[in-house]
Amino acid sequence: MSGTAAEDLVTRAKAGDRHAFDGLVGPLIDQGFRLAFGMLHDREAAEDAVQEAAVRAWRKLGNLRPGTEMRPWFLAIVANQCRTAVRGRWWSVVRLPNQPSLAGPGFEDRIVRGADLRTALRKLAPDHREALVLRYYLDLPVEEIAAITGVPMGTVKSRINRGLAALRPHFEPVEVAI
Amino acid sequence: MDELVRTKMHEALDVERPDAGLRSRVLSSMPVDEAPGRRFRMPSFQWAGGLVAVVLTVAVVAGLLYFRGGVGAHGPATTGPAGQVTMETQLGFRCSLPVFAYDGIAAHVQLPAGTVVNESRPPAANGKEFGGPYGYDPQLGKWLPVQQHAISPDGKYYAYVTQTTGVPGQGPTGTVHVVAVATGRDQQLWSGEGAGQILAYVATGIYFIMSGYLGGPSQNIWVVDPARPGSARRVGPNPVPPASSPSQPSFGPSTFYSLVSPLGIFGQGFNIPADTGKPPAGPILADRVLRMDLNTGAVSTWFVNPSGGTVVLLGLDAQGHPVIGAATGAPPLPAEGSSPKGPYAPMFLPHRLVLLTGENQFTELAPGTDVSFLPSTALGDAHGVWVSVPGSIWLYDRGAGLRKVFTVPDGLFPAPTPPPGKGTPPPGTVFPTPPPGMPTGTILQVAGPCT
Repeated sequence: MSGTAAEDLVTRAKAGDRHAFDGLVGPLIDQGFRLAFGMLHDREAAEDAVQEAAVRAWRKLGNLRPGTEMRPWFLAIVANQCRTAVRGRWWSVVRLPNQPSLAGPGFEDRIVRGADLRTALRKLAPDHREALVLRYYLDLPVEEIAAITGVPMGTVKSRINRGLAALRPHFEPVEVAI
Repeated sequence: MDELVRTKMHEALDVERPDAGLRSRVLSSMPVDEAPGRRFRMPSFQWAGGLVAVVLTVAVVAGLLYFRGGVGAHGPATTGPAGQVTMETQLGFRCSLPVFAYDGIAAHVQLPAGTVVNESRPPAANGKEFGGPYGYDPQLGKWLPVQQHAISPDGKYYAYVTQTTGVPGQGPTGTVHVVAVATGRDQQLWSGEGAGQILAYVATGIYFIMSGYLGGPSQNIWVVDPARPGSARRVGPNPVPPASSPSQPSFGPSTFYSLVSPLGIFGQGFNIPADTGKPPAGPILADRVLRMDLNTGAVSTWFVNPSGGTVVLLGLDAQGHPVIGAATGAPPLPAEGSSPKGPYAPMFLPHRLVLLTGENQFTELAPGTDVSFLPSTALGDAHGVWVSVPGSIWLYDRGAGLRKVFTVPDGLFPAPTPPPGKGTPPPGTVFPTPPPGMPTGTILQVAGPCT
């Protein structure tokens, strides 16, 4: 999206044009979900977090200045929502009806293969988990992760390194006995 | 190494992917009755959330200690006396005030004694748990799973909306239902595209709003006579003109519709600047109250906050006049590159309480100088206007003015037990500390007239 087009969308969205808001935030919903699932490891909680983040984004549009990059701005709201959810705000969650699962051939196999790493990710400090998910699951550059998490790039790198160190056994090549 | 980590992370986390309808569902769930950028309203709720969290945590811990002591605790479905509020004024009448707190806790406060009687959780409707907030039907003496404005004037019916989720290229669909309280008979009155919300169930019919965003934003107010479902019609201009000029008040996509009374439909209007092609000079705030005539659809401006700050519609008095909260100051635009999290500024929150009696006519009930007074809802009955404030309930009547009726002791309304798998926050969790002067305490919502 060009800067001019994005600025036009921001201006229109601030004036109450929900179609413009859709144009701004809509393309980021999938990434928002992936970040939220990486943080929360619960599909419903992740959908809740993205939904709440979108509502907050709508309400915070007044803070958005022309030229602001949308992706780090929105993902920062999602990340913040996930931190709140981690604290256990179970009483304020409004659930949507369950959506059909994407389970298909090989689904069980995929679950089993990733289970150990998911368990290990859950044990990480939330800051480290967030940095790893943003870096290696959403493939974002360190600069953008710094913008999303609101910490210096050095801190981001440190969190990534510490997270990787904690997960290192899961990233070693597997030796197969023949 | 990086590529290996990427692969493993995808293996672990791709077990759940966003389904095709997520974008549509999320975007269709936007608060269609709020204009964007109302940045100074959210912090109060964020703090309120924090306060609720603190109160709930304390209540849960207290409940557990109570339980460990061998005595059963009152859960949300418990029936019977629950305690006592602290009376702050002498009332010259007797009545029972229905209130609810948190999810599933409904109670009556017996006035003037201040005795609190907890009651059963309100019933579900159409097989769905509403989860509150709730309304009390004084005619039939029942709690209902909708707010008081969705209950018919005779108390025999209530209305609600069910919603389908949207899919790509197709928006959600809303269906208006009416339920006979005595029999539970549920009748579908109307169905159409958009996200629906009941505005009011009054003598002239059920007013509801349908909002959509596919193909451009749209909001339409409808009214349907429940005795004649085919009578549904839009209220006001058709199509609704866009709210693009501050000089021509109009209900449109940027209006927060809220209240319906025999005097009209009231909504928040925004200080939308003229379309000059440039970004607005200041934040766009809901700084005014618009009124739409029920018959002609003509829109007029009833109140513009002289401070330029936000206004919120809190409720109606018994005659149908809006009771509003108004901020005594307007926030500036944040500086370029500044953090979106501004400092807490009491003047930007609606501490001032105003009763609107006509176009540009109003009575100030509270000046807004007390930052611990932050009204959340208002409900009028024969005794006056009951105003809900964190930690207390107030009453306004023309003779005595605004009085604090009672204070709600902390812990009086126990938090519901966490559902399985949604346990209490982990040890060491630090909740945000409310800023100095921020009102604290349990928020009791008045659920119906005091009878």
